[in-house]
Amino acid sequence: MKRFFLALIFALLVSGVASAQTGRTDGSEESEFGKGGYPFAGPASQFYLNTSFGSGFFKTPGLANTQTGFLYGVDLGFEIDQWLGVQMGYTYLSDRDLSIYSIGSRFAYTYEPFVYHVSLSAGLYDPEIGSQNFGLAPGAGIDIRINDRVRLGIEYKHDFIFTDNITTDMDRVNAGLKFFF
Amino acid sequence: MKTPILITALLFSLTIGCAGPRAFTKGTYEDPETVALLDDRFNENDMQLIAKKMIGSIIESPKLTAEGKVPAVMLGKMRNRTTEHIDMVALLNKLKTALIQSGKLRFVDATNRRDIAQEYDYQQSGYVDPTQAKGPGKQIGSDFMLTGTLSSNVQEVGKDKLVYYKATFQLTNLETSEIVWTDEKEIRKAYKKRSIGL
Repeated sequence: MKRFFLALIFALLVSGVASAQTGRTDGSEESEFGKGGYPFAGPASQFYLNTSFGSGFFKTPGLANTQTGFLYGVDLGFEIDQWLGVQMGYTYLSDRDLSIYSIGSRFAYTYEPFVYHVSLSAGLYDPEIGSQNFGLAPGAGIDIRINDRVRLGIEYKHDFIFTDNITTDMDRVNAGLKFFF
Repeated sequence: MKTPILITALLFSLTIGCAGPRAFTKGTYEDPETVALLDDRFNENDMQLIAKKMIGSIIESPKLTAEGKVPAVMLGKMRNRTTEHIDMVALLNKLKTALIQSGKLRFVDATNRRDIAQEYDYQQSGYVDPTQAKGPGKQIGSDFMLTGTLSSNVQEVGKDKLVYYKATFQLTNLETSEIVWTDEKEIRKAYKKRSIGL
């Protein structure tokens, strides 16, 4: 019985896909309403969620680089236009127990199917132990468009973390998926 | 530090890989009746929609077949009152082809009258077998003349653009100058301005 229901659901799904028609001009009058458009031009002004996974490398003056291990984060952004977006994000560096709260802007250039982007964000660097610091993080990256809603990208960021006496640098490299909704 | 260098090198190579002259070299055959709106100009889909509406309307018009014979139609002027260059002959030919194939109307060839007259002259000149030579006097007379007008209106504010077309066709009785059939097709297309790369 269970198999029968599964087969029924599958058949309904398949028939739904099969009956889904693309826009045509030989259907009934007005059946073409709402169809067409350049497939790579998504809607203007949209929200996106960016997930990132990667690692970072601290560069403190006088000290050798220390690998931070794994970092992961999420950014919530609003794309005002294809070339301009604003975003806020949270990133956690597991090895350093460091949380980064950031807000910034993102500038993109589309060259289908690639989207090149640069970003600048200001953030609060909040370690589990120690004092909070302010920092700036310019970045650059490239996304490849998987479909209208999903992009896969890699990004490089350089963090300038301003402490009382010195500026600590950090290089971050991450990859992730970006979902538009 | 090796990983950032590798990533930067990858980004650079991708950028370089996308540079250089580009041409439309990869193509596929597609169904011409699939809706494709790549830009905001009059396209083949608009022509198909106009033709479909007009063909159906003419065929269903009771006045044309009231006398019980297949009326003969000549193609008149098709006026393009839009701001675009539109091949009106292609639109009229699409109508003509479908109407002839429907068997509801006959068409006289008004476009090639000069060539036909020259051919009469040649065939009557003695070079052609007199039993097979064609000459003037046997052409059918048109009952109706098909004419039409295509007009447009464009509204554009910021990123939004609305393009509106109205095609009006009419059949005029050549004996009485009565407009025995007319119909119109309105098309409105909405566009958003988006960047598309190079």
